[in-house]
Amino acid sequence: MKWERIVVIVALLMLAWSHYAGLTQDAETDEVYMNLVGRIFYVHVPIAAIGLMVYLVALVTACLALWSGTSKWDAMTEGIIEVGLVMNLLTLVQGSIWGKVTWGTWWDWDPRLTTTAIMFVMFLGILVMREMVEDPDRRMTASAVATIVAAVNVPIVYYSVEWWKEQSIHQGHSDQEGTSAILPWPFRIGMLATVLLCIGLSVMRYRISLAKLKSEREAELPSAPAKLDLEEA
Amino acid sequence: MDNQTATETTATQPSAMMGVVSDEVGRPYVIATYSFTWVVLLGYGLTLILRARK
Repeated sequence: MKWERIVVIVALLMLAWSHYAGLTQDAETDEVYMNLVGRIFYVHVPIAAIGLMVYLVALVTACLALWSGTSKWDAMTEGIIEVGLVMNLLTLVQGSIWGKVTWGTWWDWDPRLTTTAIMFVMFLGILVMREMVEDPDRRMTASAVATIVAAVNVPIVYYSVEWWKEQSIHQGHSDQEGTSAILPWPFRIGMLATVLLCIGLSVMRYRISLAKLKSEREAELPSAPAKLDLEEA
Repeated sequence: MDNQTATETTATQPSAMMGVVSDEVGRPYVIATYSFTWVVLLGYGLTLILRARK
């Protein structure tokens, strides 16, 4: 079995424990307004936070793809963006469900929610664009540039609850001081599990992209540029 | 800082809240959130395994 699949399985087991521990916690530790619903915290916050980091990693690999011109970084960028989109989608849906029961609405054009939705559309657009551009070199350059542009939104999403505090119905940052009293271990293990999950899924997705790029390059040989680096990671 | 105070400052903004949410009202939302998450994560993982086999 490939190492990334083992990482995914371990991550899922850790995540299952984190969720179980978060859901079965003593009711006395429940949040004072939300009670049971506050336990959505253990599934929503790790996915939202690590999802942002995933996009930052995509920014790094996009820069590396642009700088080196090698297909492996391009494939890695594609894989990471797709995993980021899954996390982004989960964040939006989880937040929407949480919002319905606590704020009384499925959606609000609040700065945090809006910037998160824009981020989803921007990165989804990159994957759509990749399907439309046939030339691998042009696709790599275009998607790397687009990823760098889209990643500008990541800090905006993060700081939106500070910058537009008055307009926001979303709560502030879930920082260490505040979260330390919310069953710290289920939360910490959930964060670590989500990191491992994203690494494993990204590598799985990367291998699929790399195989596709390799077959594309082989199909266009001997005109392919010499600067290829398609060996398996 | 006791548990209740710490949790409140992090997880809610009372001004935006509709009020106290009872466990009976909240339970279906909690179940829906966790279920949706697991369906998506397992479904995506399985999809990747199937795509890799092509």
